Amino acid sequence: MNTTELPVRPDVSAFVARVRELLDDLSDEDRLELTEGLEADLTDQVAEHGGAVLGDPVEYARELRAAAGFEPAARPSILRGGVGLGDLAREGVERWDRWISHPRVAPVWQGILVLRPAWWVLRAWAAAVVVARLVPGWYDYGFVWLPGVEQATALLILLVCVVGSTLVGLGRVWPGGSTAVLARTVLLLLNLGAILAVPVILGQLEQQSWNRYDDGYSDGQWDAGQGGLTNRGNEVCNISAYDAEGQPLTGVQLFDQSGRPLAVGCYDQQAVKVPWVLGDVTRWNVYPLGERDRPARSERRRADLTGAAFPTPDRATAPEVTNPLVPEPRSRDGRADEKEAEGKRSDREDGRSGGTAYDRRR
Amino acid sequence: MDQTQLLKGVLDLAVLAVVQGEDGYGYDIVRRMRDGGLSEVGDASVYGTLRRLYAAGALTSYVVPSESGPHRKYYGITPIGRDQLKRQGDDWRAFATTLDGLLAGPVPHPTSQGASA
Repeated sequence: MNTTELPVRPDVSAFVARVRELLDDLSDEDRLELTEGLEADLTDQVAEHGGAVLGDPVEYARELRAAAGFEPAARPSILRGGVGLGDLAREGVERWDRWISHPRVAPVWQGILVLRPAWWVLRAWAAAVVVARLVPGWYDYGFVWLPGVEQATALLILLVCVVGSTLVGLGRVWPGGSTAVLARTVLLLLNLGAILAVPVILGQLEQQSWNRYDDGYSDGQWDAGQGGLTNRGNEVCNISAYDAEGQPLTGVQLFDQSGRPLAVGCYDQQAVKVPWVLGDVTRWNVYPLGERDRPARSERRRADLTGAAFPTPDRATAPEVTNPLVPEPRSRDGRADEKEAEGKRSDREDGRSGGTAYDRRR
Repeated sequence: MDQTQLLKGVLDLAVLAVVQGEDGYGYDIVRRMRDGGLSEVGDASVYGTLRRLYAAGALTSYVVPSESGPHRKYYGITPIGRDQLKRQGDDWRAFATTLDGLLAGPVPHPTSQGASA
C-alpha cells in the first residue's frame, strides 16, 4: 500500500524519506509496516507544533527501530574495517546524514535525489563514448553524440550502456546492494572518471563538429572545383555572348584573369554538348557550345552531329551598352558609321567574329 | 525520575491501554497518551511499539484513505491484545502496590517498635 500519494508538506515527506532510507537494511515489508502512515502522523504533529517537531531523522529512525524490536542498524562493512580511518569515515557519514536531514537542506537533497536517473544516463553516455572509441575504424558521418561509429552501432552501444548504468544505479547488478569495500570504491572511481570525462568529451564533440563543418566545406569546394563555372551558386552550362551593341556573338573564347580557360563542366556534358576544337583537342571555353537533341555517350555517336545546333539564346539581342574607356563609335551622325556597323554585322554572320569585344577595346 | 526511563518497561501496557476503548491512528494514540499524562512519550517509540504489538498479534491494523491528506494507518486491539493488557495490567498493579508499600515507609514491626520506643 502506498501512503505517499497525496500531498504532504515537503519537509515532512523529506523527513520520512530520510527515515525510510535509514531503515533500508530491513526487509521491504518491515520497513513499510514501520513507516506506513508516518506522513499522516507527522503532518498532524507539524500542524500542531510546527516544523521544529521534526528532529533528527537519524535519532528518530533509531528510536523507531528500537521500539519496534529490530536490531540496531548494522554499520556498513566499509566502515567496519580499519580503526582510525573507519571511525573517521563513520563520523563523516553521520555528519553528512545529519546535514542532509536538516529541515532546510532535506527538501533540496530530495530534489537532487530525483535527478539520479539523469546522472545514470549521463554516465552511460560517457561510457558509450569510450566504448565507441574501442570500435575499430572511424566512420565520419555517424551518430553525432557518439562519433566514429555507424548510427545503428552507436544506438546499440548507447542502449546497452544506459540499461547497464540504470541497473547499477538501481542496485540490481554489480555492485548491487553489496557494500564490499572494493566494489564500492571501484564504482566511486568510475563515477569520478565519468564526471571528469564529460567535459573532455564535450570538448572533443565541439572539435568534431568543426571538423565536420570543415570537411563539408572542403568537399563543397572540391565539387565546385570539379564542376567548372558557377553563377550565384548555380552551375553554368552554356554562355550566350553579345557585343556592346547588343548583337549575339558566336565563337567567343573566354579566359580568366590568369589566362586559364573559362570552361563549363555540367553533368553529362560530353554527351549533350558539341565542343569547339583546336586541332584534335576539344575546347570547352568557346561559346556558345552546340547542343545535341539527345545524349551521345559513345565516341561513334558523338561523331554524328544530326540534330545538334547552337542553343537559341533567351533573347535575340541585348541592349546596347557603352564604356567610357571605349571611344564613341560616332554612331549618331554619319552614314559611314552605319556602313561600318553593317560591315561588322556581316562579319559576324560569316562566323568570324570570335573575340570581337576584345578587338573593339583596342 | 525521568519518565522516559520508567516508560521503557511499560510502553506496551500504556499503548494497549489507550487503544482498548477505541481504535486510533499513530499520532492519535500518541496524543491520547500525552493527554493522559505521559507528556514525554516519544512518538517514534510509540510508532515502533505499535508495529511490534501488531507483529505479535496484539493489535490489528488497517489503512484509511484520506481525501485531503496522506492515508492514515489505524490500530485496534485484538483478543490477544486484551489478554496481554489484562495480564500486564495485573502485573503492573501488583508491582505498583509493592512499590507504594515500599514508598510508604518502614512497615511497623514488633522488634523495631521496641527499639524505637
